[in-house]
Amino acid sequence: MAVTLQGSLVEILRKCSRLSSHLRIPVTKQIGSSFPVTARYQSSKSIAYPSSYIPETSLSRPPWPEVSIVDPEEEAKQHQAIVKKVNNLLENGEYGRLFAVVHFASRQWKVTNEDLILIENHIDAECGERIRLEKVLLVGGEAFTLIGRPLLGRDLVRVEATVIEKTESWPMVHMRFWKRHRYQRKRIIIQPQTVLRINTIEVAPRLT
Amino acid sequence: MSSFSRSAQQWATFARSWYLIDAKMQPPGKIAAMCSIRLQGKHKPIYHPLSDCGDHVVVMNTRQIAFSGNKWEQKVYSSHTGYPGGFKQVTATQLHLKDPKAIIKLAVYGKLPKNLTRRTMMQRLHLFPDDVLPEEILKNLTEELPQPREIPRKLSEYTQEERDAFPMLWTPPEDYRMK
Amino acid sequence: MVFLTLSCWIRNRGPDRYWKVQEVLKNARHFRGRKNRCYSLAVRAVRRAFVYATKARKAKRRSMRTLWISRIAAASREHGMKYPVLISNLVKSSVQVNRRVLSDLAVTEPRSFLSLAKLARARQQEGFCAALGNGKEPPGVFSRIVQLQ
Repeated sequence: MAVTLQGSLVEILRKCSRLSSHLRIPVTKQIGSSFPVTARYQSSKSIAYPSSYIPETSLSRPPWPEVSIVDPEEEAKQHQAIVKKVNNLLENGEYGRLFAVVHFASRQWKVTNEDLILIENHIDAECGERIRLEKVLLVGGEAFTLIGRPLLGRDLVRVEATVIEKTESWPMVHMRFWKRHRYQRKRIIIQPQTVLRINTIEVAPRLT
Repeated sequence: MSSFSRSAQQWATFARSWYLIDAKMQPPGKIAAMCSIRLQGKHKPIYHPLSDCGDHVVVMNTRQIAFSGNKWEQKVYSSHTGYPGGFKQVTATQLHLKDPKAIIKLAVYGKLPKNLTRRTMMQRLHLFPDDVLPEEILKNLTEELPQPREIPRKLSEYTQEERDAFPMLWTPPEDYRMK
Repeated sequence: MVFLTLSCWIRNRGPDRYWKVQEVLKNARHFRGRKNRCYSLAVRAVRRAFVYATKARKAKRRSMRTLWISRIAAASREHGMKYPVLISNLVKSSVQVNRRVLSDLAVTEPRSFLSLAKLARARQQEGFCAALGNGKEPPGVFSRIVQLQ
C-alpha cells in the first residue's frame, strides 16, 4: 500500500514538473517532505502543500502530445541490429516470395515474379528481350520491407522482365458534343500496348 | 500462406463485427460520425462503396446524450406530412422526450450517403435508450469503441484536497461571501 | 477495282446510306427499346453513349483516387494516424510511393504498410522535436503554457 501511494505521489510531482525545465526539484527529496504533511493534516480542511506545488489544470501541460525522444546512440545500435538481421535473412534466402514496387512507364506497379503487366504505350525493346526495371521504390519479403527514399540502390535490387507482346488497345471512341452549337467531334483512339512478364526479383545482401 | 486456408481468411475479412458505443454524455454529432464510418465500412482498407462491407453498431444510453450550447432549446427538427398545413417543427427537447432514440437516429441517417444502401445500413444500427441490452445482441458484440468526448467531472466529484489546491485567479477579501 | 478485305467487297454491293446506318446501329444493338433498331433514335443514343464513355474515362481517374485515399485513410486510422499525417510525413521522408500502391499495400501487404506508418510516425516525432527546440521560450514571448519559474 505504501509503495503504491509513494508511487502515485511521485507521479503527481512528475506531472507538475513535466516540461517545466526551469523547475529543477529532485523528486526523491520532495517525497520525504510531502509525506508527513499529508499524514498530519488529513483531518483538517486545508492541506499545506509545498509552496512549489501547483495542481494539474488544462494549462499545466502544453496542448500538443508528448514527444518521445529517442537517444541517438540507442537508435544507431537498434539500426545496426536490424541491418544485420535482414542481411542474414537475405544471405540465407529466408524471405519467401518477394514483391517490389517499381516505377515504370510513369506509373507505379506492385509486382511479384511471374506477374504480367500491361503498359499502355510502346517501349523501346523488341518482343522476347529481357529488360531490367531500375526504379525500385520498395521491396518486401516475409519478414522485412526495404523502403527506398525515394529509390533503392541499383546494386541492391534487381528486377527483370521480358517483353512478351506488343499490341494495340481496342478502339476507344473519343467523342465531344455541344448541343445547339453544331459542334461534334469524333475520334478513334488506339493506344499501343506492351505486355511484360516479371521474371525475377533479387535482393543482394548488401544493406548498410 | 499454406499454413492456413485462404477461405478462412476470406471469411474473416468479410465477416461483420459488432461495435458498441456508450453515448452517455456524448455529443450526438460525434457519435453519428463514428457510427456512419463503421456502418459504411470506411474503417476497413478493403472498403468499396459497392461491396457491402459495413459493420453493425450498437449505441446504448442514447437517453443521456449531451448537446452543447443552446441546442436543446434552439435546434429544430422539421418534417412535413404531405398534407396542407402538415409542416411539423419540434425542438430537440420535445423530440428527445417523445423518443430518446430519434436524435441519434436522425443524425446517423443524415451522415450516411444518400443512395439505395442507406436503408440497409440503418438496419445495422441498433439504438438502446438505456444500458440494458438484449441477450442476442450482447453475445454478438466484438468491441467497445472509446468515447469521443472525455466526460468532464462535476465539482461534487472532486475531492476536497483537489478543490483546495486549485489555483485562484484572485484572492477574495476577508468579508467576501462565497455563493 | 481492288478490294483488300472481304468486308470492303461486301460493302461494295448496296447503297452507301445502308452501310452508314448499319455502322451506327452496330453500336446500339444492346440498347433498350426502339433505340436498338430505329436509326433516327439510335443515332442520338449512340452519340450520347460515346460522350459519356469519353467523360467517364477521365472521371474514372478521379473516382479511383478518392477510393484509394479512403482506403489509405482507413488503414492509417488502424495504426492511430490520420491520413494527412501519414501522407505528409511520407513525403517529408521522401518516400514517393503513390496512393494506388499504398492502398494496394494496405490491403495485401499489411505488414509493409505498418512499416511505412512507423516511418511516418518517426518522422512526425522528429518534426515535433525540431519545432519544440530546447523547450525554452524565445525572449520576449509569453505563451499560455504555465512555465514554472
